[in-house]
Amino acid sequence: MNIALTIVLILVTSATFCFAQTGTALGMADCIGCHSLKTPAAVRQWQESAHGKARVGCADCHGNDHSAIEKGEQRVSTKTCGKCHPKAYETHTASRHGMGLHSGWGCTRNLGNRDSRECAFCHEKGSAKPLSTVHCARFLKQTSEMGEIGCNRCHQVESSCASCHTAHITDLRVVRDPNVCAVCHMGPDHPQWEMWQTSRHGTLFSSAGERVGPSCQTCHLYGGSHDVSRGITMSSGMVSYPGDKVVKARAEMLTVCNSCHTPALARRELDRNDAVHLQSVSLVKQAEQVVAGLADEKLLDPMPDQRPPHPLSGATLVLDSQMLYEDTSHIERLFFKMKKYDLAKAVKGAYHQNPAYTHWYGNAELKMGLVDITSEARRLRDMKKNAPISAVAGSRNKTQNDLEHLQKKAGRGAIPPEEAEKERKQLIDNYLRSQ
Amino acid sequence: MTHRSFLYIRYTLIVAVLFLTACSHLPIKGQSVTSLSSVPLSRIDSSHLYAADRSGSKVAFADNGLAVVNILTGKRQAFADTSPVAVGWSPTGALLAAAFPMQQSNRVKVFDSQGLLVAEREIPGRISGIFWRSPQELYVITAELTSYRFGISYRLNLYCWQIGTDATVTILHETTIMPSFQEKYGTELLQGIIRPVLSPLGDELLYSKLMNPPAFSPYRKLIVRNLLRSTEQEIASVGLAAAGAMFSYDSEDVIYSDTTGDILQRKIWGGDTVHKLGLSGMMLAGSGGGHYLLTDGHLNLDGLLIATLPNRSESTFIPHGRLLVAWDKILYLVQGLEPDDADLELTPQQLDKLTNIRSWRADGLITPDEYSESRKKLLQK
Repeated sequence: MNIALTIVLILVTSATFCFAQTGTALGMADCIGCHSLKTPAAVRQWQESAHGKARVGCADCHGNDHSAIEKGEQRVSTKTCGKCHPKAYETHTASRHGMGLHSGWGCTRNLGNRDSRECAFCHEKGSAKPLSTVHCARFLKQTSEMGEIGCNRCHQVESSCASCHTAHITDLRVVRDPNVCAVCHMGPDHPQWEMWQTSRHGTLFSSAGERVGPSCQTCHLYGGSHDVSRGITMSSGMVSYPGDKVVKARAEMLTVCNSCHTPALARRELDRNDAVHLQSVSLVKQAEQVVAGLADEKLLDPMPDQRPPHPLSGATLVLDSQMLYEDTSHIERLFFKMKKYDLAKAVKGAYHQNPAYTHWYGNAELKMGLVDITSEARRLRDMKKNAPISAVAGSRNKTQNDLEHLQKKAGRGAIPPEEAEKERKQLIDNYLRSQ
Repeated sequence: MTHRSFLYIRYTLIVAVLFLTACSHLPIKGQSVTSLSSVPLSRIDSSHLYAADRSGSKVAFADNGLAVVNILTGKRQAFADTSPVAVGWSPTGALLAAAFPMQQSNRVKVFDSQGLLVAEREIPGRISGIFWRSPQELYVITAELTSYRFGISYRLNLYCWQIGTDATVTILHETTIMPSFQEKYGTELLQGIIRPVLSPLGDELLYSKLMNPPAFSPYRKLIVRNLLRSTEQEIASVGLAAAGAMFSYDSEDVIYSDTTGDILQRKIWGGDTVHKLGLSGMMLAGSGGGHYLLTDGHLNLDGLLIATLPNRSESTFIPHGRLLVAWDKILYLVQGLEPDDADLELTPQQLDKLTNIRSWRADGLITPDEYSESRKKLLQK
């Protein structure tokens, strides 16, 4: 009995080993044979890479199912890389890059009209983990082409190491070059690369090299870490983190700064940057109050209930991070620029030591944006004032509008409860006295 | 048929009706019955459907057709030769709306005081109430039932018809009724055993939503809806057997019977305190001033029983101490009560302001306390 069992075990083990060997060996040979002709650059890059030298084969990352690979179903995700690079995977996943797909997104699970299939936009079935594809068309009404190029190419950083490392090259020079960050971290919404490039740090990097001028990686991937969030004290929407998190992050960033600067200088600079952050957010808040006030008074043109509903919030005014730049009123479009572009330039410009971005592209634009918004609000109110109102309905409608406005103001904490009560009583008394 | 023979038949019928009604007698029992007297007004269909105008001078009712009787003179006028399922007078009494059933729908007709047709339109579903909010604004409540294998889709609609324009519809309630409900109660119950009622001020509607949760017994939610702002307030959950619900005389409270038949009263918008009135009954009617309350035929004056009418009678208080009672297919006029008419004599401007501040309270724009204070100021003027 024991002998028979031993023979069976030996046969099974041998067969498994043979099939495994044969599968890998044949698979790799097949890949190289064809792909040397079809995708020679990929094969060459792999052969010259650390993966090629260590005999990490095509199937090890891409799998064996060629038809699935052709259909794009076998994308090499961070999970794939994480099998051999667990530490990098863990730190990346926990970092802001690990939230690339989620950033700017909101889960639709609480939407009444949600199609349950939408879960599959972000998640694998039964998993809270996101997939690598972003369907921006769902929220921003983009075409699939724009979604793929304009959205996914950057946001896929969450689930694709190739976003920075490229697909087959493992040469660390690629990812240590600040240009690799420029692909996404540039442009009107967060031009960190331009800020750095034209800052003292960037110009020194350009003229005297990395030993004198720090690059993106020097500060944000300190010591070769994949945690890009290290030392950051606020969210991507520039909302400050809770106090204890700020203290920890600030200490981390000071460690980086202190490797070149005196602790006193580093702290003083960061304190100044914090002040610019608060001042800039305050300007945006002022503008936000103006826009929200107009919505309370039903003066937006068009009002949220007169335009396509917001994909997440429906026919309501959305001024938070889910704010859209299409299907809005003109004043919301002005506010979008302030909140999304100008605020980022002022705040990130300060933290990246770039005076022009901090002031001219940021602070000055914020202030001019506030002028535009205040002026537009005045124009809309004047239009309402001059609109003909029926004498009969006038007093009732006015009081009702004023009460609604007051309720919304009190609801968002723009007026203390006692003051709201006083104003309410005054409005009712005036109404009762009216003819 | 000659004109003469037609007249003969007509007078014979009238005499027969008069004879029948003259012989009828409404039994009124109790300690203070001496002051009360009843007069039969007319025969009425077994549905006991009738509606008096606000001044209490005329009553429209179903009697093998639609007829109107002038309560003061006794003059009767036929408006239609088929019986309606719902009737309602406009606030001034100048117009009468009546709904006549058709195959799958209803024809709602509006007549002037002479019985001439002013407007009509088709409204689908089973009609459970007709109300006038203003001289030109008619509300119709209907229940639409669609049977499926898995149950009945039940939808309660509120049609708002500005006479002369199209009607708009609002869905008040929509649910699925399980087959077990249908087997046990039938579909008649779905029309609404708690009849929708309009507040005396004409701005709020009291109706009930049928709930049929899978794991619990079916029940009803009593709802008050402010018609100006479309905001709703849940008053109570009551059993299917609970039948009566009405507004208090000042439109501020709802008086309703709970599952056990106890009569309760609670403020609509200001808190959830419920008062037991120490009375019981399922069919309720109240006088304009709020002093008389009729519960299952028990006539109470300020909470004290003063007389007893037949239990299954349908009663309505009308001004000047009178009561209309439909019982055993006869419509009676009961007289001799102390006049207890609405003491809210409001000018049109005061009424407009009062209903507006009520709507703001309903919408949470002002607090119940602020409303009460404003109401007091308004009524002092």
